[in-house]
Amino acid sequence: MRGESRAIRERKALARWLAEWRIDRVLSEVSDGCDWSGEAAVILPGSAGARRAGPACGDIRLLYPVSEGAPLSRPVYVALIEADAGGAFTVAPFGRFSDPALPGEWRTGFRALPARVLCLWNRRRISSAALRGSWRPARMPAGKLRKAAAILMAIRSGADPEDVAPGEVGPPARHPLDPRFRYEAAEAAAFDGEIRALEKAAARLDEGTAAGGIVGEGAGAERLLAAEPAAPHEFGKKPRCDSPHGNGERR
Amino acid sequence: MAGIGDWTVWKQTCALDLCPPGTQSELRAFARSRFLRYAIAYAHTTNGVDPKALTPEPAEAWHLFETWFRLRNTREGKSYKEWLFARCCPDSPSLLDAVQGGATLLMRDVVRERLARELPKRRQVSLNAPAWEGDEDAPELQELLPDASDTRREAERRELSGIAAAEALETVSGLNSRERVALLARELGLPLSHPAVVRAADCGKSQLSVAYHTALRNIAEGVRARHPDEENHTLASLSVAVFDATKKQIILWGRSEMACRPLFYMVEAADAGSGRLQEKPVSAGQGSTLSGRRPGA
Repeated sequence: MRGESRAIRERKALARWLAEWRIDRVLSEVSDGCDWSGEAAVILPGSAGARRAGPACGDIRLLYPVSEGAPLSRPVYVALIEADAGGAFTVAPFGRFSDPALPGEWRTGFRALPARVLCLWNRRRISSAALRGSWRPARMPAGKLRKAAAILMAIRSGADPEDVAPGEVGPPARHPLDPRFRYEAAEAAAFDGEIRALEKAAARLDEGTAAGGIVGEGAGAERLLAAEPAAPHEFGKKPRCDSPHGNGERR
Repeated sequence: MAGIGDWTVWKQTCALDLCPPGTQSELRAFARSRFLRYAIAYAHTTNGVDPKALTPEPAEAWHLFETWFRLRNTREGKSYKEWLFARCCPDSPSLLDAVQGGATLLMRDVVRERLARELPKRRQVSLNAPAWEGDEDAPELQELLPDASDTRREAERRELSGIAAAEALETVSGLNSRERVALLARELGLPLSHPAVVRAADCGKSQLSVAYHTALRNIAEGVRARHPDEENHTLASLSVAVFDATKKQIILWGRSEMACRPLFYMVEAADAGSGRLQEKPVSAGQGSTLSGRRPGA
């Protein structure tokens, strides 16, 4: 990497990402081969996830598979980056691919594939109530959490994430035919749907209803989700990456 | 064939190696069959690749599956097992399909990563190669990321910006309202599936998604049509410049549209001076606040 211009490094990174994306497009046409149209997902009070510690900054959490409409196609791991006074968290999902696609995606350095790339551009706010059904397979070391927060800060302030994490973030998307615009729109919609469904499920439990696909686990079931208001979503300011290209492009 | 009993035993056990032999062989066969299914699909798009040669033996296929989603070698680190079973009610007759459907979808990521790692020679990707296959009009890799660090082209870039500003007006006028709302929403960082975006576009989220793709393609094709004699690298730079200018025009258009105002409210930054975006109320019904980029800033 040393001695390479940024332009060359970004093109190589994009080539790697495009190679994986091309394969993914082919594989996405394959049916899962199961006669299952997707029943309403359920939250199981008393499940192992419910008995674990409450969410905290630095957690890596696997979201409960509550879906809006179509069943979720994959497990969604998120990192809890920030907490606010109202008990909500800013979370960012981990990406599907091995390489960062965009300047708002950070190569974390984790060896585990599902946690290799953190998509900070796709961050959302989520209530702790909506996280109560999630599992916590791991935690981020303090140094990585600080790095993620620093990149997030750069994105929010309109700075270039590359300055905070040189060589660790993805290249900018600038051309209208760049497939990463499609990828970005699809990922934003998918994650938004997941967060929205979790918040709705939390709100329904708060209302004391067991309808809408949320079921209990017998008469002695504990209430899994606490009575907290749904947190607003946080839509991300996109990272800018106007240097060294100098045209003020944001993305 | 694997039954729900096999999957349940595996879920309750640390690893497949500790399960009864019958369960081991059934689940390994399942993993290989799913891997092969994806490999066949991939082989159809390539010349002379034997899908069976791409597919590992059952034990290896299962190992890849079992370790891919494991974050740590603990029960907590393997919570994807819980996720598989949580996709469906535990007493549903569809539980097996839900678990195996989920496992198949997980296997897709396993196969994709393995194929990407082992098949293409990443270092040999040509800058002049189409960015993706099967589309004659696909831009070249170097067109997606024009090297703007070349200062010798500064004058050319300034000229392109001037052309782009003029062409952006024409481009926006050629977009229909759905396409404009879709571009506006993405420029503001909003998902196309957001109810407020869908309301502003007055159409379904799927139609909005199509409109977004159409708009992007029309912008690029418009540049190509207006400059049929330009070379690819100039067209690429011009496409980028027109796209930039179009996004600015779309923001101006959106600000003048009553239906789009909620989108701006949702993402407006209250404190741009500190760089820390604060959140503003959206609507009484939603009772939520959002933060995001400062539109048009």
